[in-house]
Amino acid sequence: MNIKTNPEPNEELLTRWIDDDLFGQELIDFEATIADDREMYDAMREEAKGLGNMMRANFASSVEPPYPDFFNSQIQKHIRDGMDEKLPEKASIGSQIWSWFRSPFTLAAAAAVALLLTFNRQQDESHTLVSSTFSPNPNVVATSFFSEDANATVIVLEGLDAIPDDREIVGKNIATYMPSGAPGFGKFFDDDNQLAFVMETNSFGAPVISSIKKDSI
Amino acid sequence: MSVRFVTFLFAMLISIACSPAEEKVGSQVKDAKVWGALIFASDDEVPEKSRPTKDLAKKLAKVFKEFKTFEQLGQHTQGIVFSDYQNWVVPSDDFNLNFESKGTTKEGSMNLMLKLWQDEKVLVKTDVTLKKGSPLFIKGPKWRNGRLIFVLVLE
Repeated sequence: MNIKTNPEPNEELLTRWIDDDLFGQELIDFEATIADDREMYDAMREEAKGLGNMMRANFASSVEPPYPDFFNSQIQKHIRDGMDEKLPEKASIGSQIWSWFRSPFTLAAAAAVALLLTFNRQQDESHTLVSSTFSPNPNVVATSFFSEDANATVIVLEGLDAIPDDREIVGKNIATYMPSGAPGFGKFFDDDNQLAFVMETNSFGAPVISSIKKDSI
Repeated sequence: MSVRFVTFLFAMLISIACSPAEEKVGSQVKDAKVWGALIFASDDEVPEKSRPTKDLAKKLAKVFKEFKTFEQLGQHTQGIVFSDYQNWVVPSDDFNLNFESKGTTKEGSMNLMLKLWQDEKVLVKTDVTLKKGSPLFIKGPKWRNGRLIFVLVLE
């Protein structure tokens, strides 16, 4: 069993170490406290730096407010208006949440979200939709699109092995499938309601079609 | 009307808007019928008896413009969709499809989780909301001088 002998490093020092903000004796002392778990702390630092870089790359450090002149004048007005007002007592977290929750703006936002969801659902119902595709074969890429001309949704499987030319693809005409007996076992009937074949599934759920053995069914 | 009641009402509305309306009767999905077919798209001549319906042929031609003809190799009409069992659409020995119904919506669409099989291999797994009159085409492997296409339609 691996028991730590060194105490946990001070959180502030740890943060500064991650930010490369420790120098001299402070750095030497800190690195001594994490020496036993150096690899773990190095990994933590790399991860934190990676996260920071990603956020810097994806989020602007400053955003220009819309109509900045108006924005600034409104802020100044609110500061002037608020100069003589007494600051309200600090509310508890519970009451802050409740006041936010019962705010008319929150209710309006909730209504807008509900309408948007309903609208989207109605939009989505207009044609067949593919929500997700997955191919277990890593060489296969499955993509989907909607053809407005045909009012059809298409999944394209690229990367599949071609079927050898000498193989016959045998079609069937089936009218009904009825599950029967054990899970995965079923009977298939043709247009004349005659049993066409039986099918069972193997341990991987794959279909195994059997020719008819009427005596055994 | 209290604020608390209005909030509760909104929460209910959102949950109703998000949940699919299931219309199941026993172990079957009410009024659900699916049709599947295996189509061979190529430039070959196709005998009349092997051609798909005009409507389907027109839709196929609009999507798969690189092919001139469409031969229906096999088809399967499944008049009963089971909600408690795996459903199978088997228009050929080699290609077939199984799906689980995740219920129907008020508009009559059906949510499915389906797998397309080639022999004992899964080619693709997909979650689909199948809408009446809007077929699903799955463009499968190359074969001879064309391509195999699996068609699934909610009727």
